Amino acid sequence: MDSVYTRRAVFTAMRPFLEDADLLTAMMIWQEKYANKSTYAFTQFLSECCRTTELKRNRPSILNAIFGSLELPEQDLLPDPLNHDTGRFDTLTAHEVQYATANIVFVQFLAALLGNLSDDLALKVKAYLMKHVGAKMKLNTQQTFALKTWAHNNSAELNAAFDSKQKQAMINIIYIAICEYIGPVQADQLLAKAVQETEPLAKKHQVDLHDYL
Amino acid sequence: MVIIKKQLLYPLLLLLFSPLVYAAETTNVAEVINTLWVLVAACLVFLMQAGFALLESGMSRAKNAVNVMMKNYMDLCVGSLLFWLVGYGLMFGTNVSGYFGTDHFALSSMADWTYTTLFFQTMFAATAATIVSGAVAERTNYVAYLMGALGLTAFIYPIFGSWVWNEGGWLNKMGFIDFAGSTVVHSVGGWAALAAIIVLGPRLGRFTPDKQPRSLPGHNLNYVAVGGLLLWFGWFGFNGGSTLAASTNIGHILLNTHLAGAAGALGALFIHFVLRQPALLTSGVNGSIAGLVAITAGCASMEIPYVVLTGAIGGAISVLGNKLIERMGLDDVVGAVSVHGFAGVWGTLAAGLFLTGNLFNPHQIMVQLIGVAAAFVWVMITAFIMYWLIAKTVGMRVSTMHEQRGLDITEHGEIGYPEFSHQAAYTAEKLSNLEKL
Repeated sequence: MDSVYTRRAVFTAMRPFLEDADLLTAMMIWQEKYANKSTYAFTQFLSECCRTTELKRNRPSILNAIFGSLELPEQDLLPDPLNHDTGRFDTLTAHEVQYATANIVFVQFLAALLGNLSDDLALKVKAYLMKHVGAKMKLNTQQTFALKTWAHNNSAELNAAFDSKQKQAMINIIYIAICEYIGPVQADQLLAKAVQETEPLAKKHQVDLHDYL
Repeated sequence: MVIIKKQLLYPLLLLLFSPLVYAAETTNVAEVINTLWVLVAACLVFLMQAGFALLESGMSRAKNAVNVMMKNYMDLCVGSLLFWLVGYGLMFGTNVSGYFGTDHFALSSMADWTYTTLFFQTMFAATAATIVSGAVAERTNYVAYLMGALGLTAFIYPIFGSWVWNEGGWLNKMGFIDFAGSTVVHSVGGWAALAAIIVLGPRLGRFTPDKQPRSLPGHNLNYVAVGGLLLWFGWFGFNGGSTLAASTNIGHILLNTHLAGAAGALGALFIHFVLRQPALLTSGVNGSIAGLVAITAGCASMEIPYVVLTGAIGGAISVLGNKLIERMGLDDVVGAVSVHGFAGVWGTLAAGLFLTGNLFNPHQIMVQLIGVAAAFVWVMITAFIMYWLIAKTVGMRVSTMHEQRGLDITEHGEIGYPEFSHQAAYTAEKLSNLEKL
């Protein structure tokens, strides 16, 4: 199946269900991970994108909508959200694009940092973050909810905007937790490894990882 | 035989140092040679700064290597100026009360011999100050550290020094023996380090959640070994120069110094052997330094078998003392408290126990104990108050973000090994992108 056609179909199907920023994040996840996968991956894609209670409830409807869109003629689909000149999604405002891309890179960085820990340890580190994050910075309700969802559901996204200072503080708390649990030498190594693993994605989206460090 | 040697030595020295020939015509030749010896010894003591810098930097992680070097470098500078300004007067000025000197502050014009002793004693003061830097490495605010070095060299060290090395000092009058400073220099530095690490707390992750110590290996063991050897070499000036004269017993003093250092390394490794632990390089080096610290008090007044015993026990103490410090939940990066503090105490007691011609004299041992206790009480109280005040005002400890990035970046904007940092989270080319903390 033509990848542009599929992307337009996914975009068209999800448009009525998701807010602009969430839709953009979903499209970026699609592009990063699922664009080259078979249609069987749609379920996995949706479970990764739809984390809020409402979206979870709508997941079957969205899946039906996607399969429906894939049957539509090309002229009935929304235009391709990906700008081929810039290689970026620019159907939304520049600010939203920036926020969504930064969030994707940040979440990927967190995943890389925690991915090298055992599941048990990763959970302990996340619990440490949730316990101490309030003391380091002020979070609004949306941010707290997004962080809890990420921590408890092993979500691949953070559905809230965090500024670079907040991201820096979160990484620092995670670093402290890793220092406490397995030692600072390994914490430094894991931090360096996460930077190396995330650097290509960050470069692609023109995000400077050192904003988080 | 001695006369023949002198007859050969004097013309040779005059030939070697020909500009001094003219001075020698008008001054006592012995005075010139004494001056020369003490100045050379002072330069050797200066070299100990390089030893400390290498040893402490090598025992720290790569991301803090520059910071440790800078602390060593700058405490020498700050300490030297402050000692000239205030410290020397407090330590060697007229001491009527027995507790501190009252003149000789900021000397600008003085007798030739006073220039010499001021230079020599300045190197000692800088040594006392730099002992702290290794203990507090990797988590201390740079400015706060320098303020501590300032307080130590201008106030804490010289006042205690005046009790022992000033003719009017109360410990001096009691007959306290501390020839080159096991207590005056090393224990004072060690106790100041202890006060500092109590105020500071341990580095991130130094202890596990169930309070077990975790090893944080230094980044360059070669530096540690070379630093140890440089210190050892400098110690010949430290102890040998403390004669303050080119006397014939210098050979005895230097041999004692050397043997104690060697015995110290063996003593430390013996403890590892008994505990069935591997023979660590850091322990060997620290053991030799502890042996040198221990013999510093009695290097001019002990016979060789006792010297070896003193050094070996000093080395053993460096290992056991470090375990005690860890058990107390304290984080001493280089083991300065056990090497300088504990071994200094042992050495000072040993100087009383093994005093040639007056072995195991209870009165002398009591005097030594009083001196050791006085040093502990004086330094712990004053240094603790000083570091506590610094912590409450300037801030003694850096933030966790500083610890994450490493103090080379956060305190100096530099990386110690820029070509080799590509595997690290923070690379040299990205430094300018980092947000200022």
